[in-house]
Amino acid sequence: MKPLWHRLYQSGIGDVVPAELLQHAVQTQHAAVDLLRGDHEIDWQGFPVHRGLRWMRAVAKLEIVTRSVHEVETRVLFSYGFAEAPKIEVSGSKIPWSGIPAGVPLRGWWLTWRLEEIGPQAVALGFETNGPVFPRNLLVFDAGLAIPGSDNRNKDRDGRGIAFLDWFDWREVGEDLVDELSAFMLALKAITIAVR
Amino acid sequence: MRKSIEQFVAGEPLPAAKINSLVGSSEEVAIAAAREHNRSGLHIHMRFEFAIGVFVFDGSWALEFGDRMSLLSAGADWIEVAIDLSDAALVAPTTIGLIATTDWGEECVYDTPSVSGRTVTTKIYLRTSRRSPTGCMVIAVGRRRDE
Repeated sequence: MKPLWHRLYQSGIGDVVPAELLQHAVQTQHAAVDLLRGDHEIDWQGFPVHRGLRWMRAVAKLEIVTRSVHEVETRVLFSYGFAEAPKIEVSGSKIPWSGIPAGVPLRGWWLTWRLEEIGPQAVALGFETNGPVFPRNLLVFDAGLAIPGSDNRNKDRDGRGIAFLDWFDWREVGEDLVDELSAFMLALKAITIAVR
Repeated sequence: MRKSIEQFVAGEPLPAAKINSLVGSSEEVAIAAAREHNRSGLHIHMRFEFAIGVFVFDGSWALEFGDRMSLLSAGADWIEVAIDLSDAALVAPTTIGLIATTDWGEECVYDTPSVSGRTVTTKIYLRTSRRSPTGCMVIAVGRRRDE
């Protein structure tokens, strides 16, 4: 990162302002723009944000305390940048926040959160498990989009995000299908989430 | 955030518009800088990420790039890593989390990290059922003591 040079002038009332003074102000402004562009990138609003993965808008880790096909109790180990800390919701008939019917394939566990800072999200998730058991179909959604694929934001939902962690297994009981926790749900101990 | 296009030359008239343009473009810089920095220039956001490692498979797993992270041992579908906490300890043994993905973009899972002194070790499992990965990126985030 290069230094930002500036020079102070002294003058009195009635003195002529030298053009050099103002031109140096222009050069200082150029240096400030270059400085900000140096380790930043311009975001969707035209503002500089830190480049790279090291600076995150929100980070949290939550531990799973109890689990079932009806409710998951979690404990937040640390959380930063969230207006509502991440939690696991069980989708019964509808996908959280969307109102969209969940249906059989999407009945399972959802991670939901709400950021303090609104705007598009880039989300990464980490899973602490009891052995090598993986989520079968991890899906992450920016719930702030007006409609999928659109650049328009829904102001009521902006900052919210959801991730489908895994679907339930099923077991036949008579003519009914009964939900059961999947191997991943049973093995999952904690989730780390980072949002840029 | 634009660069000022004004030029100030001795002897030329100095309309207020040129001064106002310079003030306006300088204000744009100040607004832009204030979004992620406080008045003393420090970053507003806390930095939770503190260690990173990129591992590649070329016959065996090796560390390609690492900052406070090293490779202890590896198998066909797992790597065991050590994370250095010598500059700042964790608030609690539970306040560290990993995010790991293979070069196919598939998520990895890991065992509960074991904290011993200023070193954290854990075993990361790579998903190999769909396709064999030849790379893995691991990021450690956590709450550490202000030392």
